[in-house]
Amino acid sequence: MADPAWSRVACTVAFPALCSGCLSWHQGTARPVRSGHGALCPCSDARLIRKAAPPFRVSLSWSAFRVPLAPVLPAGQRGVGGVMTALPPAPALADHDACIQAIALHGDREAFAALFRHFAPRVKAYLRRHGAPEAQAEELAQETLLAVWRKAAQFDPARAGASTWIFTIARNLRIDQMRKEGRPALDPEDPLLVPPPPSGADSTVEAHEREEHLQKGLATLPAEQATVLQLAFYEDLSHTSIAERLNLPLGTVKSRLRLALAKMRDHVSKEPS
Amino acid sequence: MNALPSRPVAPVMTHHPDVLALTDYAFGSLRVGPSLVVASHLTFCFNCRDRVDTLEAWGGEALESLPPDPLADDALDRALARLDALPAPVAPPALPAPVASPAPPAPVASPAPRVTGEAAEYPAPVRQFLSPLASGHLPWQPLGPGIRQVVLVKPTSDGSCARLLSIRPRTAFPRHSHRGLEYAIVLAGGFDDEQGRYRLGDVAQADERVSHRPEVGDEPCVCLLATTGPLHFSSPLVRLYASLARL
Ligand SMILES: [Zn+2]
Repeated sequence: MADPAWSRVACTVAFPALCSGCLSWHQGTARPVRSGHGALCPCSDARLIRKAAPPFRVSLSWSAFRVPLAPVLPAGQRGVGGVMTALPPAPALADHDACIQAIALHGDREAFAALFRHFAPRVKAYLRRHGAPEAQAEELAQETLLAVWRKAAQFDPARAGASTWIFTIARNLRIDQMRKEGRPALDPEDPLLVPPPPSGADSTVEAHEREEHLQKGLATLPAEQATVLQLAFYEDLSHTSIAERLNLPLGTVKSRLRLALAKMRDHVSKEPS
Repeated sequence: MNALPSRPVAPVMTHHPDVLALTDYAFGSLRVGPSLVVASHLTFCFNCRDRVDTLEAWGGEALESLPPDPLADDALDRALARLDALPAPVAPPALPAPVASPAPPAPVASPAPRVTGEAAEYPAPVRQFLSPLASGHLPWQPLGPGIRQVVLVKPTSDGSCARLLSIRPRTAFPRHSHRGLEYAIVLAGGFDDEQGRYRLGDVAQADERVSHRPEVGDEPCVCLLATTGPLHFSSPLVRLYASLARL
């Protein structure tokens, strides 16, 4: 941005593009990125993102943002000479669309192999960057490309390009993976779960009973545990503050609290419903 | 779209996930619970779907420009071998005319399995989580007076978790502040708090600066609550109870 001559170069964005800074839509005059790949929002200087909307998708691609690096235009000279116009879609991108369609139409294994060679290493790189371990990234990259094979018929180039479509498949597989890792939570047999709901609707009366029941449970705790629980929940002290207040080692506070909670949990689980 | 048979599409959402949440969701860097909230919102909200579409296009662009991370030498051979086990892709009968409103994106990879019973009323992303519970009634656990929960993502060491909450009419969720971020989406009924009124599909986001007491109106409310840190209840008794219920 230090180059004043460059900052006066304008380009035209021929279709609605989203500003990654203000997330508002822009069309028309913008400023090209120095590298020539992309354009900047005229107001926020943040990068503009292409909108892959059906009417534009056919004739335009990301390459529409490409602008020649030279010559740098003098101030005021905009229009024909300085306009960054839409270039034909990059053939490589179009090929990937065609590969997916070839899979959909006649289960083309060559097309699959081409997609695999191009995308699998990139999907793996994406997953690695998001913290997936090596082996898992490798496996999910495989899964992603197999999903491309299975779902090829659902691919609609009017909605999104091949790379976007494959990216969303990889992203969704990643979320799915995280979901599976969280799945133990769904085990209704988990002994750690709070007991099943009482039959019948809750009522205010029941709420009072519950509170009373809790208080009774507190009363059954040994004094040393009750004190720790009292400080932790009623006075909202941290474990460290409790240890200081009672002049006890931190570990003792924690173990008393753990015992107290276990007893209370046991007590609550015997709650008559 | 076979979801939501009896429920009209909400006309206009008034509360959306913020730009950061949408971006993180689109790029796959949002945690699973918040992703579930955002994905559910997309089922209801055309505007955010549009924004996420755009961000995904950016993600596709980023994918192209990432330096490739080579796979094992035999990766392609193994993939081709695995293809043999798959049925041949089926060509669509004919390209259908473009629909006015595109189907919501599949937020997770596998198709949402058929879920019957009360779970069938929720958006596909939630059904996906509920599918291991198969059918019939959800295993609601009491969480406090008039409040029940089903844990979807068990609290992890970093304190993030997700749960469905069912709250009785004219009941308030106890006042609390947040030790992380909270994302909540209304799946039935609605609630009001100091920030506004939340109805079907609306997303409420709260952070460390927010202390609130959501109140449910005349209809029962079901919402999906995802947190990235523990809630901190103002009342000591509630704190104790929450601790027993591992909230
Ligand atoms: Zn929205």
